[in-house]
Parts: sequence; C-alpha cells; structure tokens
Amino acid sequence: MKLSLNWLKEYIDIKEDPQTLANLITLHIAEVEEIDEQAKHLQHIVIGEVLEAKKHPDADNLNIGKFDVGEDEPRQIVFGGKAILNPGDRLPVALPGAKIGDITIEKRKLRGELSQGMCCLNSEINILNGAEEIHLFTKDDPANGTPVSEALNLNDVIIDIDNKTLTHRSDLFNHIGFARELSVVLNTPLTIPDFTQFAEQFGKDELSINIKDPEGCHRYLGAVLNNIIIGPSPDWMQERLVAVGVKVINNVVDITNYVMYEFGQPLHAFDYDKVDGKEINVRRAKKGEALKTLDGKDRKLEESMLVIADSKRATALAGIMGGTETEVNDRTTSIILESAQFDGVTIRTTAQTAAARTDGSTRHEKGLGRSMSTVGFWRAVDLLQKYAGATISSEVIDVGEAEPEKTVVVVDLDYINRLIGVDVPVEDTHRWLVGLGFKVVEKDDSMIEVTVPLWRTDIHNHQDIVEEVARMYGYDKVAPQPLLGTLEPPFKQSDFHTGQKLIHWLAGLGAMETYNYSFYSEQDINNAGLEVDGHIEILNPMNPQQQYLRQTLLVNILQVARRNLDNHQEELLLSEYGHVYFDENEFPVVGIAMTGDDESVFYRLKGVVESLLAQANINAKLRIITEREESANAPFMLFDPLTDVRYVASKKHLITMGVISSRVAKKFGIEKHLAYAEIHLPRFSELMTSVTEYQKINAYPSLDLDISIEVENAVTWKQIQSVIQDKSKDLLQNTEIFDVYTGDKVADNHKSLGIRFVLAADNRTLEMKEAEQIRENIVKELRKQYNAKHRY
Amino acid sequence: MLGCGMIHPKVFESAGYEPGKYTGFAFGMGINRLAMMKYGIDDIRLFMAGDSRFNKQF
Repeated sequence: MKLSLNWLKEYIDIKEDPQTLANLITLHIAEVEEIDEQAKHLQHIVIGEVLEAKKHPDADNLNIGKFDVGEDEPRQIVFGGKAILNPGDRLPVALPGAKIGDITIEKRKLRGELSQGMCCLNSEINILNGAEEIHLFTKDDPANGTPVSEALNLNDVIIDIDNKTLTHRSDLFNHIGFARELSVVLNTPLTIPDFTQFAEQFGKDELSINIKDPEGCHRYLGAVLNNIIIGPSPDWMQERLVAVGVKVINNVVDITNYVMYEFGQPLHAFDYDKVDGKEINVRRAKKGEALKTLDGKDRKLEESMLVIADSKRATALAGIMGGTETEVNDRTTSIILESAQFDGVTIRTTAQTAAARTDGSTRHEKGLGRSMSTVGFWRAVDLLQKYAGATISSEVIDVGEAEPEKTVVVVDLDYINRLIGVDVPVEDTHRWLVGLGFKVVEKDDSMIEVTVPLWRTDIHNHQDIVEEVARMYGYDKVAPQPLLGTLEPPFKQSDFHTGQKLIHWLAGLGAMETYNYSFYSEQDINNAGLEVDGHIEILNPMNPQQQYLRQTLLVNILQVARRNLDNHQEELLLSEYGHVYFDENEFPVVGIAMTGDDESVFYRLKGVVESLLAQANINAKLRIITEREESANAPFMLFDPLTDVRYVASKKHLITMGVISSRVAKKFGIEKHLAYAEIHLPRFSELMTSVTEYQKINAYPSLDLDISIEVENAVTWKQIQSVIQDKSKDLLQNTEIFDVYTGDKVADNHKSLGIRFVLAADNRTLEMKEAEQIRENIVKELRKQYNAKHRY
Repeated sequence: MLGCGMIHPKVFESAGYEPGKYTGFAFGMGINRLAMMKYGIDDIRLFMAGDSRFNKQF
C-alpha cells in the first residue's frame, strides 16, 4: 500500500526526512518496502522554450533546435522527428546530468551537430499521464529553467508499505490510520478532517436496502444523493490519487477512492437511475447469473459469490467491483452511495473465485471494523457536497447487525513490564494507548482497564495490549540480556540423525544428495505402476504436479535422474532423505538411485547398500522376492522381477531394492538401467549400533583350504556357504569365492567355482588332518545336496 | 530472513498448555535464503531442482 507524505502532512506535522520517517514506520508500525521521492527522477529536467527549430542537415528524422532553459545563452539540442515543435513551445528538457531510465544525458555530437540536452516525452520521464506525448507548459506556468518537478508540484515522497505486515490491521490501509500511529510515535497532535454526520431525514427519493445474506454482509449504509454534477475532481485530490497509484476518473469516482485511501472504507456509487426497483439487495449470485464488471469482463457468476443486486439483476461483485450497467458516467445526476461492512472470508473467496482483486477487496477481506463504514460514508457525503454539488435526497438507510460491544481488557502494568523486559513509565503507556484510540481507565495502582476502539479488530487480550506498548516503546530500545538457565542436551531425533548419517556416508561413496517436493501427480503414480488408491490427496494442490503425498521417493528421484541424464551427466548415484506418507503413518526413508549401462548396476548398488549396512553394524539378510504379496507394502511392482529383493534383519523389512523395469524407466524418459534402494529409517535406526563387541584375536594359527566344484548355475553362493558353515562349525573364520568359470570345460548350464575357506580353533593348534576331514565332509554334503562334482 | 516473535497465547492453548503459564519465542530461519546470500545463488528453485551441475558445486 502506498502512502503519500504530502497527504499524511495534512493530519500531522512531520519534520523528519523521508528515510528517518521510513525507519520509524518500520520499527513501530509496519515494514516499509521502498521510499520513492518523485523529484529524484526529475533532477536536471527543466522547462525549456523553443526559440528556433530546423531540420538536421545529415539526418532525415532529426531536428535541431535552440532552447531557452533559463540560462544566459540558449542551448542547441538535437531532437527526434516525432515531435513537431514550434518556436514558443515550452516543454520538459533534460540537461546534462539528468538520468532517463539507465541513460545519463551528456553533451555530445549527434551526426556532427552538438546536442546539449534532450526533449522529453511524458513516458520517458514518467510524468502526468505517462503517454508518448510532449507536455506543453502554458504562459501561466513558471519561467524557463524552472525544474519540472517544481512546475508540476511533484515534490511528494511515496512510502510503500509491505501489505503482508498489515494483514491483521484492516484499519491501517489508509492515511488516517498511519497518521494516528505516527502521531504517537512522533508525539505530535493528530488533526482529523472535520465533517458533519447528519441526524435529520432528507428528501423523498425511494430506496430500499435488504441484506439477504447476513453471513456475507454485517452492515450496509446507503443513501441516494442527487443534483450531482459530474466533472473533474479538484487538482489536489487528483495529485494525491496519482501519487498513490490510483487512476483519476471523475469527481464521484475519485471521491470514493479518495475516502478509501483517507479513512480506509471502500465505497461504491451506483447510478441511481439505472438501478431497477430502486433496490439494493445483498445476496449470493444465482445460478447462471452474469455480470459485466467495470474492468470490461463478462463474468459468469457462481452461487458462492456475494453480489449486490437490484430487483432484476446483479449490479456489482460485493466489495470488489461494480458493474458497467449501473456505472456512474458523464450524464449521471443521482447516485446510491454504498458504505458496507462485508464478511472478510466471503469477499476473499469471491475475489479468488472471480480472479478479481481490487483495492476494495484487499481492505474488505481483512475484515473492516464497524466504525469505518460510518466515517467513510459521512466523509464521502461531505466531499460529494463540496465537489460534486450533491445533496442527500433519500432516507439514510443503515441495516445489518447491531453495533457490537467494545472489547474491554484489564491489564496488569507489572505484566507489561515483565513481558517486555523493561520498566515502561505509566504515563507513557497511558499516552500511547490513548493516542492509538484506546480508552484507558486506571483501576488501581497496578491495573488499567483498556477499551478497544471498534476499528481495532485485531485486539482481543492483554497480550495484544502489551504488544501495542512494546512497539510504541520501540523494540530497538529493549537492551539484549543474556539468557540464564540450565542447558539440557536436545532431544535426539534418532531417525533424522540416522538419515543424515546415511546421506553423509553415501556422499563419501560418491552420491549426490537431492532434495525434492513431497508430492507427485496422478500421472506419475500411473507411470510408476503404483495405485492412486491409498495415496493421500491434497485438498487444494498448488498445481496438478503436487496432488498426492508421496509413498516412495523413487518417482521424484527418477525425474531428477532424467533431467541429469538429459544434461549428459551419465554415471549417477543419487540420494535423498525424506518422508513418505500413508493413511495412518508417516516416516522417513532414504532413497538411493544408481544408473548404468547394463544390469551390473544392480550389483554396484548392492555394494553401496551393503557398505551402509556394514557401517551401521546391521547383519541383514538378502531375500529375493519371487511373488509380490497383495499387501499394503507391495507397491514396488515396478522392479525387474529378477532383481526384486529386500534386506531383512530381526524379521523386519529394512530395505527394498531392485532394477527399475525398462517399461517404467521409459515412461520417465530414462533409457539407461537404473537401480533403486529405499531404506526404512525407523527400523534401520533401531538396529544400528555404533560400537560392536570386541572379538578376541585368535592366538593359534589358521589353515587355508581350497575346494573346486562344478554345480548347476541355479545353485547359489548362499546355499554353498551354508553347507560350509554347517560342516565346519565354530572353526570357520572366513569363506570366499576366488574363481567362477563357465564355458567349454564345464557342462552346459553348469559353473565351476573355486572356493577358499579358513579354519582355526581358539583353544589349540588345528591339525591339518582334522581340517582335511572337514573339507571331505563339505564336498560330500555338496554332492549330496546339489550334485556338486569335485574337480581337482 | 529470520521471522520471529513471541508465541500467541492461542497457540499455547491449542497445543494443550496451561493458559497463562508459559511465554515463548519462536524463530524461523530461511536456510535457503541464507545459503543464497552466502554463495551468491540467484534462483531459489535451484535447491529443489536436483541438477548435478548445481549440487556438485557444494
């Protein structure tokens, strides 16, 4: 919201320079986003008079002129062909040093002719209507050489307030509101314009006002004004409106806007003669109803929208925008003036549904206090009488809820001091609160009773009063104090810490951490072969891409992988820590994805996963999943069946892993092989231990033994290992495969394995004979179980 | 950059604290914005883009 410094000065005396004032506003009231001094853009731009003009000898579209800019000697200036300038014309001329946009004007030669300035279009220096035309000054305007800012009275400073810092303060979207606060901050009196709030009845014009939707409208104050003479509004009003960015239209419309920026009450004027049945009805729109609004849009109304209607049709979107059919125009002689208090939520939803946000809706949606519609109405009547010849010609109708009781809060003065942390003098508290419009009664030495003005819809309890005192005292004046107390170690969120540890280890293994949104779309779910059913749906998603809460990190990681592959980043190892969401359950997981040129990517990711398990000292077993059960945990139908595995420890499913089937990968635009693992963090952190028990180092020597066998391809290393384990009992220290061979020298569908195992006893030197006996037993057992042929 | 303030009594009430017993301060640090200032990052969306040309710089 923009404030004009000149306008504020009508109500309070301000001596502070703009920057100091802006700092005070930020410290005590609301955040100042920007201060804009009108004259700053117009430095070195003065009124210049054309003495003579001729064509440039070397350029068809350029002219040369001699200009009187108030100096002893005229200046030669080259100017464009667009403008037809004649001797005697007086216009804005930028002299060297002036800044037009990013360009600084300098003395220079244009096609061989010296140019000591530039003629300016309104659009180039952003004055008046801002059009691509030249403003010509008249004889009555100041002399040549006068700065344009002075001649046009552009000496205002515009203070732009960040609306977000005012959302709870519907009373501050106007000049009086800020002037009231500043009068307290600057300790200077506030002068509010004087106008009459009539009590008597007026003319005979017919008017009825009916609030048919009391939920949407708390109060409607209206009357007919006749004898209106439409014309321009006074210059001072136009200057102020332009300064705060409001388009000037005619006296009636300008006055309604002016009052909104002065007192904060949005108003509307309907052309009385165009209102059917002389009725104002506040109601919801009817099905199929249409309205052409002042922005020229033909709108189809929805039944949730609050409208103003006459006896036949909707005439305005309540509190937001009027309709063209009842618009005030040059021929208007009578109006209905509306000053209403609508329900904030209703206005906000209507404005959102209609995609129409206006200055009026911005104010209404914050919930205006009741007192504002009264003040706004009578101030508008006052100005319409003075500047549009208006007189009230109907009864003044005021319908809606009864005036609410004012909120009364009892505050302990000591509580104020305790909460702020300083001793605030009682006289100051008193002066500030009264200055802000509160009524203060001293109950006893330590208690005050504070009555809240109707416009302060944000004050409900004694803490709110403390805030008023604190911000007037100044947060900057509260000296920092050291915190005193016992420091207790923070509660450790073990899942989070485990997750961070894993991400850290993964980074050590070359992974790149990614961070994605917690949502995905219906299309993503279908592409990944997951079920939409069971996903938690967002009520009002920001966009369709964020409609469902994720049940796996995979989908978003696939998209990250795709984008990086598209950028020719080929060997990817991606990690993410994040939450997954189910109906009754939300928990963190770590997702890991790896890309590669063939299926071996599975084994490489397996290596990564097992190194994490080793780091965490978790003894987990790999299970190959042959049949996906139809349980809740079965969404991973997207893995290639041969690589669909999980790690299990203490009977709990810790990690799901697999290679994404090429069908799914293609749907996400991935041509490479991609292996993915997802770690269930609550289970993983439960089993993770950082200290393992010390294993005594064996003092007796160990024996290495080799076996070479030929078995069918289907026999797994795990099966062979368990036979070796079984037969060597406690003596087994280690086993490993040192050779795998398939080819001409073994039978079809068979493989030859070279296996080494290490035996030792912890209480004696193991004899070779005993060890060889064990080897014999192993070979026998392997032959028995797997039909293994012993090779020599 | 760092939104903060005293906790509204209504917040305590909804969280089940005894009314009037506690006061509290809350601070919320926009960590992305701090990182933007520190490293001169000009687009906040980069943090969520998962672009290795960006992520690998850190």
